Amino acid sequence: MADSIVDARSISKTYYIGEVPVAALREVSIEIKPREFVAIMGPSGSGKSTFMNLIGCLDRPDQGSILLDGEEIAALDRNARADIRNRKIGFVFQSFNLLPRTPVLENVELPMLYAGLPTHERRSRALDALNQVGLATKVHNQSTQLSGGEQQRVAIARSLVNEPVLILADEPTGNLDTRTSVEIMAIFQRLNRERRISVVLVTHESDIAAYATREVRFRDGRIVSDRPNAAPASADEALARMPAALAPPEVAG
Amino acid sequence: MINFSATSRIALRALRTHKLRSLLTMLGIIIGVGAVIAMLAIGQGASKSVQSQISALGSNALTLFPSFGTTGGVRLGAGTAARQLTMDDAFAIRNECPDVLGVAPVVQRGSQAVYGNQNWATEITGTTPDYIVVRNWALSDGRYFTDEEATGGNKVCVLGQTVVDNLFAGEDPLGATIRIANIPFQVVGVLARRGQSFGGRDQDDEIDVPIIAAMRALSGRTPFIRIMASAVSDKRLDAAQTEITQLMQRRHQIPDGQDPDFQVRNMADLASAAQASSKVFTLLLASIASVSLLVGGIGIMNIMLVSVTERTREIGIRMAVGAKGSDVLMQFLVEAVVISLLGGIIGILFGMGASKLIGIFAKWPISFMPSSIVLAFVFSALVGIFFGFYPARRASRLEPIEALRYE
Repeated sequence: MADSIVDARSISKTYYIGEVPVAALREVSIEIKPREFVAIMGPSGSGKSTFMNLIGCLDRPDQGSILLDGEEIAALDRNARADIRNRKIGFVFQSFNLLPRTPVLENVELPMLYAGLPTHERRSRALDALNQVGLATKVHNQSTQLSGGEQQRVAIARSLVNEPVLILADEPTGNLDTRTSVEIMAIFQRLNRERRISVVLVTHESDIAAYATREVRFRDGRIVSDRPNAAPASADEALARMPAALAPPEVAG
Repeated sequence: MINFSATSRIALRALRTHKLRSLLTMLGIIIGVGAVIAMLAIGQGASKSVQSQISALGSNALTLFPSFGTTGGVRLGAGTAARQLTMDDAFAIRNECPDVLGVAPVVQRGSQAVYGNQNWATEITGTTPDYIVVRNWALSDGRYFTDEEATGGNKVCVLGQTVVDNLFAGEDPLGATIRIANIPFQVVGVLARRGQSFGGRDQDDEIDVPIIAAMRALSGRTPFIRIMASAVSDKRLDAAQTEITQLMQRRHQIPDGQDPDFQVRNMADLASAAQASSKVFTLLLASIASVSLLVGGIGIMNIMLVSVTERTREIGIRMAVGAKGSDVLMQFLVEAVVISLLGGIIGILFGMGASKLIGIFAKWPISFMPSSIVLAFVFSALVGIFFGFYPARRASRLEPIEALRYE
C-alpha cells in the first residue's frame, strides 16, 4: 500500500453549461492517508461532488494530477478508469443505486462479475460481505423489497466485495432517518477500524461528520478548511443510547 | 471482461422483466422467419414435385419427331416431313444403338372409349411394350401387351387409372371388352396411378393399345409416328442421342451439313429449364418474405433504443462498479440476439406449422430442407447483431456520471 491513498495536486475542473464555463474545482490539493475517515462538507455547488467524481475515477480533471493508491489516474482512458473503479474503489450513493428487480446477492456480486471472478468465489465473497453488514438472511430478496437502511447496507456490501482501498460515500445517510443513519455510520466506522479501509464521505450534516476523523470543507471550488477530528463520536455508543422501540420508522428512498 | 453465461443471464432477466414488450418485439422476428421458412418450404416443395415428375417421365428419355416439311418456302409444322418415321426406324435404333435401353414407336390420337353405358374421351396410345420402360411406368394390375401382340395388331388394351375411374365405376376392368372407335378391345392390364404432369395434364387419362391395332383403328389421317427412347443411364444420354442422330442420318440419307428431316428432343434440357424456373420462383418468394424479417429487425432496434434510454441509470450503476464499455455493449447485444434467436426458433416452428397447414388446405407439395432451417436460424442471429449493434453502442458510450444522475 502506498503512503497515501489519495494524493491530489492542484486539480481543476470546469464544466460548461451551454457556452458558460463554470469552475467546479480550482486548483485543489489534498492528501488522504491510509485508514483516514474523511468527512467532506460544503454547500451545494461548492465542488465536493466534482471532487468525489475525480478521485472516484468517474471523471477526469482538466489539470493537475491524482495519485490513487500510488497510481496516476488523471489521464487514464475510459477502460482503464473502469478497471480502477472496479479494483480500488467502493461507491455508496445517497439513492443506494441498486439494480431494481434483481436479488440482493446478485447486486452484491456485480463488481466481481466485471472483475471476472468465477461463480463460486463471487457467491462466497458476496455472502461474506452481506454477513458483515448484517443482511445474511435477506440474500434472496429483491433489492426493491428492502427498507432504505437495508438497501444502503446492500450497497455497502457491494462496495466491499472487491476489497477496495477506498470507499467513497456520497451523502449515504441523506435518505435515511436518524437511527438508520447512525447504524450506517457504525458500519463505516467498523470497516474503517477493523478492515482498515479509508472512507471519504460527503455529508451536509455536522452530526454525521462528527463520526469522521477528519473534516474538509469546500466552498466555491476550493478547500476552505481541513482539520483533524481528534475525538470522533462512536456510532456504536450513540446507538446504545437510542431506545430502539422509540426509533421513528425508516423512510425508504 | 465479463463471461458469456453471466451476460446471457442478465439479458434473459431483462427480457423477463418486460415480458409483453419482449414478446411483441419477438413477434416481428417470428413472423419474418416464419414467412421465410414457409415460402422456402412451398418453393422447394414445388421444385421437388417438378423434379420428381420429370424424373418419373425419365430424365434419360429422348423423343424423336419427324421434322417439318417445306412446300415452296412454307414450313408445314411438325410431322409434315417428306419422310416420316417408321416402325423400322424404331427397330433399327433398338438393334444398333448400344447406349439405348428401350425404344417405343408411338402414335397418339384422341378417341372415344365406350364400356356398357359409359363413355369417355381419352388419348389412345399405340405403342410397343418398351413404352412403359421408356416412360418408367408400372402396372397396377394385369399385364402389358407383348411384342407379338404389338406387331400382330391384337385388339388388347391397357387402361390408365382415369379411364378406369370413368368407365368402370368400382367394377374390375380386367378381361372386360371396351370399344374404341367402335372396335372391341379386351382389357389386359391397368397402369399405376401417375397424377398430373408438371404441364398440368392428367397422365392417367390414356389407353395403351398395340401400335398396329391403333393405326388400323384410328381411321382418318394416320397420325405420325414418334419414337420414344431411353438411354441406359442419365450419363449416357448424350451418347445415346448422338448414336440415334447418326443412325437416322444414315437411314434417311441426309448429307453432312444439311438439316435432317427429324428432331431429337431430350428430357434433360426440359428438366433443367423447369428446375431453373422453380429456383427463381423460390428465391422470389423468400426475398418477399425476408422483407418482413427486415421489418422485425427494425422493431428490435426500436425497442432496444427505448430500453437503453430507460435503463440509463442501470448502465451508470454497472459502469460505476467497473463495467467497461465493451461489457455494456456485449450485454445489450446479447439481449438483442437472444430476442432475435428466440424469435427465430419460434418462427421456424411457426413457419413449419404454417406451411404444413398450407400444404393440407391448398394441397400444395411442401418440402423442408435442413439447410433452409439453419439459414433462417443464422439469419435471425445476424438480424439481432445488426439491429442490436447501434443501440448497444449507444449504451456503451454513456458517461457514467451522467448515467448515474439520470432520473
